[in-house]
Amino acid sequence: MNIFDSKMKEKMILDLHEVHIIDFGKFKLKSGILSPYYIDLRLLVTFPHLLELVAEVLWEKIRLKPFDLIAGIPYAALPMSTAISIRYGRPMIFLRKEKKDYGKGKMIEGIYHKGQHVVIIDDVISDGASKFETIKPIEEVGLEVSQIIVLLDRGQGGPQTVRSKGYDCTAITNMEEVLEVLYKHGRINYEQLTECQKFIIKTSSNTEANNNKNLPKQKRAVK
Amino acid sequence: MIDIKSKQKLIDLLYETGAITFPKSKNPDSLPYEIKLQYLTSQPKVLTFAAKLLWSEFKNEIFDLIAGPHTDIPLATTMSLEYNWPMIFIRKEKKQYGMGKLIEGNYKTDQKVVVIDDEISDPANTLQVLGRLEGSGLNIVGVYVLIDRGLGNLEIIRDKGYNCETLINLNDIFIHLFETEKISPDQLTQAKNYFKTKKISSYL
Repeated sequence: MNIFDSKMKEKMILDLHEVHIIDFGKFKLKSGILSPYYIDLRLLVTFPHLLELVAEVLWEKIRLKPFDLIAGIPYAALPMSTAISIRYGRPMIFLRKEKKDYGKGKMIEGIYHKGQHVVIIDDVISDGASKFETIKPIEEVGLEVSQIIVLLDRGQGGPQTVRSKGYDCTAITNMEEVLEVLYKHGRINYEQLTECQKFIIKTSSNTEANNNKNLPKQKRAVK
Repeated sequence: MIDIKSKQKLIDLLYETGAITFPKSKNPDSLPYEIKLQYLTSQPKVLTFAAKLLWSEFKNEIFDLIAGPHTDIPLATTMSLEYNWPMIFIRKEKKQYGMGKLIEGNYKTDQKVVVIDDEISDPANTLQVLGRLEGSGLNIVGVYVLIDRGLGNLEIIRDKGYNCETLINLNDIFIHLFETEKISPDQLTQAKNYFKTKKISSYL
């Protein structure tokens, strides 16, 4: 990643925090546990400029590998995929939230042909399990998943799990990096930083995956 | 109001994309015409053109946000990006966990909303969406759709007191494609007859 890309990414993280898409406090998660931070990328639609920036950051990665189609996943990632599709003129298919109950329910909408290569774009990745629910219907209609690009890795070993099944999976950023950027710019204080870092370590089920991360080690951020 | 040339261009683009087709089949049960607006996402340029055209239908209204039902996220997002206008969208159903919300995005009570839809296939769904927006304290400026299939769905929305407009209707499509010789007189008659039976059955 060149300097320009990393500057762009840093601006994106700061802007996401500015509009409370990345927020700090006490939040109840799906699992029932309380989290010191919350990320709601569905809010992006209210900030078209920021959505545009996110699309740009994602595109810098997407463009490096050939593909035919972009796959949009509801809800949060669909606006991102749409933004990339119209900004860079690439056709998009999208997955329905649920199969229609009636008629010839299709899981995938749009025009596609067997054998085409698809890049899946998603907002976040946790343990990676839900990515296979996305991959399955795409492969079932004869499309090939060329790569999976996720904006944010929550640090629970998701990309490693997906890669272990033979897919190319990359996260643009992860929680450690987000915290590091926000701390560096004085957006969060030291207590918030360490509280969030402890939470990440506590909730990451895959410690081996954590050690393999190519992005900031915890020590660097704690300085 | 949109000039007729732009509407005709949109119909041409939809036809070229395969979003509007007149299948030539010998099977008497096959449909004389099909409209698949989902195909729009596969043609970003056409999607952008349609979004711009639809926007000009309501650009003179006063509104704070555009809103799309979850199935229309691509169309609404395209408008939002094109005109740098904030957008919200309506979920299919409430999440069971976390910050359970029916409406996603940032909004404030009393803001004015324009609702975007590619078409109204089920007025009950549209009314539910409008109810959810109003229930969250938002005011509906109007509902704007790309295509009206002429089955009386827009009238149902209007009867409830909402402003509801379409960019093009079936008649625009039939006439333009016939005049530009994309469909034959036979296909036009078949399409019109089929439309009549459909319209009658929709009233039963």
